[in-house]
Amino acid sequence: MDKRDLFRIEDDELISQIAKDYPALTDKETERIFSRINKKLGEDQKAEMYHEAVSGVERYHRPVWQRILGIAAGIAAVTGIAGSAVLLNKSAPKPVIVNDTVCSTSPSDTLPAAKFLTDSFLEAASLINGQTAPEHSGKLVVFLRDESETDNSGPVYSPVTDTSFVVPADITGLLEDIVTEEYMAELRDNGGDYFSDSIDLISGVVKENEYPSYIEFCGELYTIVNDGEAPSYTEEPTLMNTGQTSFTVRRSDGAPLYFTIVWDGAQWRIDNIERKSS
Amino acid sequence: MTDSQLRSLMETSPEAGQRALYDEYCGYVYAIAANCLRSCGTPEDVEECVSDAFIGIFKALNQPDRYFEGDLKGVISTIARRTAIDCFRKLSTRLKRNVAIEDIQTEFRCEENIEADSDRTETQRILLECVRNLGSPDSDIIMQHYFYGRSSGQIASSVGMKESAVQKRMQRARKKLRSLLEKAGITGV
Repeated sequence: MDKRDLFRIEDDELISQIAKDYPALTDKETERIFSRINKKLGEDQKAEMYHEAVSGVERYHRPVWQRILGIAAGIAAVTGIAGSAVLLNKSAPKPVIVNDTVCSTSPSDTLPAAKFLTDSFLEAASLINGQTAPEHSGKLVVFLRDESETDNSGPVYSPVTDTSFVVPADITGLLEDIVTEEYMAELRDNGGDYFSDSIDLISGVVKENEYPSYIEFCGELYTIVNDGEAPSYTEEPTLMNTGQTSFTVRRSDGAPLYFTIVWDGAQWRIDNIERKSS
Repeated sequence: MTDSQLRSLMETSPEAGQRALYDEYCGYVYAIAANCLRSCGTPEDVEECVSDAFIGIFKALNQPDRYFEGDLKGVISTIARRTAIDCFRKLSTRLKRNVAIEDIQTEFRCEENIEADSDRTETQRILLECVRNLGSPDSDIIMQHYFYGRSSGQIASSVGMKESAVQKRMQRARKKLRSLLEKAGITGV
């Protein structure tokens, strides 16, 4: 057994006896250790002082006007950020039409873009005017204007089964992606050169001997079923006044239509339509 | 000074109580620390450990919501041992050496080793008896060197002898101790 192992003593009594019989510390060493203890205790007390809570002091109350000012500043900051976001979005409009040519300013794409926009407009216009009907069930219904009208001489309607059209506004909404905001407002207010009346009049009876293209009844959308034909613009579009940010396109079916198309920063949109006699 | 006297003094005058407690148990705590740290620490490390142990003891005894009943020596022993084991681990990490499980004295000893522990304690009791029989100053020199881990130079200054004289005495004392141990039935030392 190694001597040092033999002197590794675990019994408390023996250790106590050794400490008593063979004291290792001189007086100098004893004092040095005690002064070290006091120094450490002093440092600990100092550290604790910084963590102690104080009592008997007046609690600080923030002035009310500062609170109000803080809230106002917060609201102003949020409004500023939101406003900036709106302005940034406005200044950089995003294209909504999934059509590469409509979103391109390349001269080679101008004619395809013109065809796409005018075709889309004429298609939507046919639906709005009731010249063509969206997908419907074929079940025919006659709506009477009042109780005195019993001859069933009015137009017949059929429930729309195309799920993309639930209310009449869904029909007019087809134009929103292809015309400018200003021209859309014009179409809603006056109808313009192409529509004789506001496009919003496609629902509800407003005039003598005129019938709406669509009727909402019991939460269901009904479309007028006409035997009339939609005008067909089979002739290819003709480009005119072609510029960097606008051009005119002519579509003809007897009386020609002149579409003014402008670049809104993100895509081409129809800004005006003029009908001219041939 | 008895435990009850120390307790009452600490209540009436904490500073005087702490000093009295320190004077009473300083040697004991130093012995516990040295016993644990002599293989890895310097005498300064042992002193540092003793001061940490006493700070722990003072704080434990001054807790207002806690009162240690019974043997004060038991409380002191426990805190001193724990502090010494912490110091041992820190020093072993600093020296980048592995800590053998046997080097860390565990507070709860395994029941299976009770017999072995008892034998070891008995051997150590005989050892201390043999050391005592060496007589002063040889017994002091042996204990200073093997138990407290002090060098011959440090021992020389504490016993008031030359270092060379301490070394010669230690050599003779070792031989004498070996023969005493062999007579007592302890061989292979």
